[in-house]
Amino acid sequence: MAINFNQVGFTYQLNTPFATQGLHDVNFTMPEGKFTAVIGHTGSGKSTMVQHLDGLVIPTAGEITIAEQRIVPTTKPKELNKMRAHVGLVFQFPEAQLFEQTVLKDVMFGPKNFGKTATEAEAAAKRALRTVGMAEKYDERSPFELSGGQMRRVAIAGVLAMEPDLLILDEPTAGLDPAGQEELMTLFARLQKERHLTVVLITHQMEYVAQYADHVVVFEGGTVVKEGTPAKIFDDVAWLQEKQLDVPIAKQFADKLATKGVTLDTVLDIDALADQLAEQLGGSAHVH
Amino acid sequence: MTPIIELSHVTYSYPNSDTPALKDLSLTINQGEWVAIIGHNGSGKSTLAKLLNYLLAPTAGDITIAGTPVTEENMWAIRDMVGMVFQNPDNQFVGATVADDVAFGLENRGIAREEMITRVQAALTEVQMAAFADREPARLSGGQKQRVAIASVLAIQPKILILDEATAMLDPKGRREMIALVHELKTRMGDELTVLSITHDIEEAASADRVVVINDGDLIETGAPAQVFANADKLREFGLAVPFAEQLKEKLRERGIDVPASYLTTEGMVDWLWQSISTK
Repeated sequence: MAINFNQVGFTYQLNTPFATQGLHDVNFTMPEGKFTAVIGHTGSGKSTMVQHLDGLVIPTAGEITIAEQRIVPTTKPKELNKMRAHVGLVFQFPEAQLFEQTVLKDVMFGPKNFGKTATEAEAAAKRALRTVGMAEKYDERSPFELSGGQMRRVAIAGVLAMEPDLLILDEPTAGLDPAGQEELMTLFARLQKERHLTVVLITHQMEYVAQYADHVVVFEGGTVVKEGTPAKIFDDVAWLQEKQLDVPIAKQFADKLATKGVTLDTVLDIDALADQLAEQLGGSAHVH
Repeated sequence: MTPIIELSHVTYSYPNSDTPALKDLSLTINQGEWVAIIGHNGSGKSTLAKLLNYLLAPTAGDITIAGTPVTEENMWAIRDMVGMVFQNPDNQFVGATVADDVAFGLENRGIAREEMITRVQAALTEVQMAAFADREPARLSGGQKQRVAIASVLAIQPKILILDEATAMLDPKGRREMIALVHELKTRMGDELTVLSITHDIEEAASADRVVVINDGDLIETGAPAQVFANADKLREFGLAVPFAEQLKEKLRERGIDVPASYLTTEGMVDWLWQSISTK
């Protein structure tokens, strides 16, 4: 599902004395079947934008297109029900939304809500639970007796069980330990490739952006200030710092080397860095 | 060096659980130390923190804080000495304003009003939040909320500050500011303040004087960050992050390059690389 924002604006409590502008003049395109990362410091408008993707809020200006669905200020939330069935939204700390008595029932809730029969919902829920690596033995357990990482995976299965075409992930790995973070990101990357999903990832972790994203959208002050490939976005370090954004560690490291006179081609990940360094070291280093 | 936290053969099992969350753990932390406790989710590190101020009582073993046994009888004296800041900044606010919130712990302890006003002001100044004294806590950023939470703890004038994944929910900027704040507090207060930070953040752990690794309830290793972080394989085995310079060393080794065996910081690695490359 391709996504296009055209001059989109959103004002909280419009036409009241409390009106506050959340977004203004937002323009971008997220390509279908690709991995798009959304970055920007806290309060830049990223999360407000994301709420538009699921029709949780309707823009107060401009036009949004998500696949065939057009959303304008006069669109009624009800008109978006059909689209919403194709959009999976994983909020921050999604385990806070678990509520059912068993893991399986919790994951079945979504598909049932969108009109699947109990049998269909159960099959979808079981598929989703195995996809996120939750073994069958947990199906009948209470979700509240699981570890934090397991609860997170069950909550994500709840979204995957609806078999969305568009998967939106808002800081999906926050608070997990490094191994848990890596497992989840690998899962999302695999799903995106296997099912040709359109993935939108909101993150502060530039390593993920460098490693997984095809496309990057940068927010600041309620609007988009840059859009492009990770290589393009991370090219201008001074600009990123001014926007209070980090640079991937491999690039920071390469930039430190550059100040000492060791110059390398653009690197965003550790493997590219190691390749180039090995080549430069090759002459003097002892090769086994 | 004076020991301030002493755990001797401490075991803790949660009700209805077959395996203990902590097993026969012994550990001494000296006054003025900054110790980072690392371990994967569910390793027992937060359980350890909760035992230290009697939020949980050990199933077996003894704990003392500054020589005082941690028991039900001494619970309030212990809690005056041990202040905790938790992961979620939204779960620890009670006051309508930032100043009220910091005053809460003092009111509970029956501190006189004059003294209370001075202490609240001083604590907020320590964390650079004095300008926000009359603001509503809900309207602060995550990093600001955690700074106020630290101020609430400092107002009690504790000997020990426990940060239980206090930076986990912050953005990178908020996280760096928190680490910088702890550095400042440590510099200013010296041995008056002992810091125990429970964390996944490698940068935060590397700032500590000592790192303690806990895995499935067992104390695996304790040592200087350089010593603990040098063993990448072991860190990975316990589900922990490996510092970037160590990851890079591994990658270079795989590519047939001879790299130093000892631990290198990022700066150390940069120096080693440019020297090796320029003398080629």
